[in-house]
Amino acid sequence: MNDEANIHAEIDRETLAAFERALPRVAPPADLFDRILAEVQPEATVIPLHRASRRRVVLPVAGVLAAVAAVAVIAVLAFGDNGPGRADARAAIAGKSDPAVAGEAALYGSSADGGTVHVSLKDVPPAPSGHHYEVWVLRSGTDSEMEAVGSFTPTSKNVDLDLPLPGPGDYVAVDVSVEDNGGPPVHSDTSLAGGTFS
Amino acid sequence: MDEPHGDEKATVDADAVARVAAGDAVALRELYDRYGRVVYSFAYRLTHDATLSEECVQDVFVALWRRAADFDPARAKLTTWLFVVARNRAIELGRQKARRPELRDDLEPAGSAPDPADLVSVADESQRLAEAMAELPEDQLAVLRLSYFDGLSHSEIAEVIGIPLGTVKGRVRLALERLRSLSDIHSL
Repeated sequence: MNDEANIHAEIDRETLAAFERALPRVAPPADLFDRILAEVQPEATVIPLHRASRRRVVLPVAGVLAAVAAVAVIAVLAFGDNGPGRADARAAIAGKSDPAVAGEAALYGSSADGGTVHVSLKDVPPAPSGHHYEVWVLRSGTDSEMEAVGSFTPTSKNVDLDLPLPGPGDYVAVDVSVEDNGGPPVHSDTSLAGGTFS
Repeated sequence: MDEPHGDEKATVDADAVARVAAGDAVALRELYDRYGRVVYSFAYRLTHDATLSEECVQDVFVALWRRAADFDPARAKLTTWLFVVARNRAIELGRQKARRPELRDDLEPAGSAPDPADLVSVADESQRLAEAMAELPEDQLAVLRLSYFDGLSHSEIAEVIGIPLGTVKGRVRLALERLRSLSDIHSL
């Protein structure tokens, strides 16, 4: 090592030593930002849509194909480890506009009135400013019509939602869209995530 | 694409703050990812307490969220604002801790927290370096975060960021040189 390199190494050591005195090598816990977010945003708003106001939305064919091809994402109210009973069908959920999002959706009592869809999502990003997320389901035989079942604004990366289904049916897909607050009552055609039931 | 440098970085920060003022939580996350670790380390230096440091960081970013609309980039850099708020809050928390020994972490060696009377001078020193680090161009700050806080080797950083090893070494050297000039490190 030449003299210049030795001088540089010595200076770097001094710099790092000063650095260590001023800034300890410590890291905040991984959930600290979630706690900040929980404080600055309102409590998670999970708004199941009432049957009278539930929307039947015609998606473009491409949107439907995308919804069916991808996996659905949704967050739901915790049922606990045992769940509300045996699921009729489950859907693996995969991110679409955000590939990091993942989760699962499960249908309960979907062949009769009063059925629900339970959605669990991980790594959900905060909703963009002025936007919220909305959960949609697709029944077979309804072609390209997806039905909104609830909306939410996450306050943490993990979301659990329990939402009422619009009625009995053979549900084939679930989708979570990104919606403009106060926007029109139609699917924005921007999906955060989605999946198909099997 | 290169990360922003100098004034461009200040502009990026100002834009993010403007988005925060509009209620954009994604922008708050961006700023937290950029500066949260340095603010936490700074707070820990003053409080010697993980819980109080978390409280300090939380208070700083909540304050940023609530007061973002008042932030004027023409009057101060965001990094200056962040560390002034962090410093005031950490000193307050450190003094509370000194007055309330029951708050001390049992695992922490007795007497490791600075005396309240020394907190201000400790804060002066640490704030200068913390600000200097935070004001590094983002590409240099990123490699320094990975090297210093995460303990990654230069080769590992090259792999994580996806840049040549020589570029990593160059950025580390530039970062250290810049820190020396920004922080007047020999006076520490």
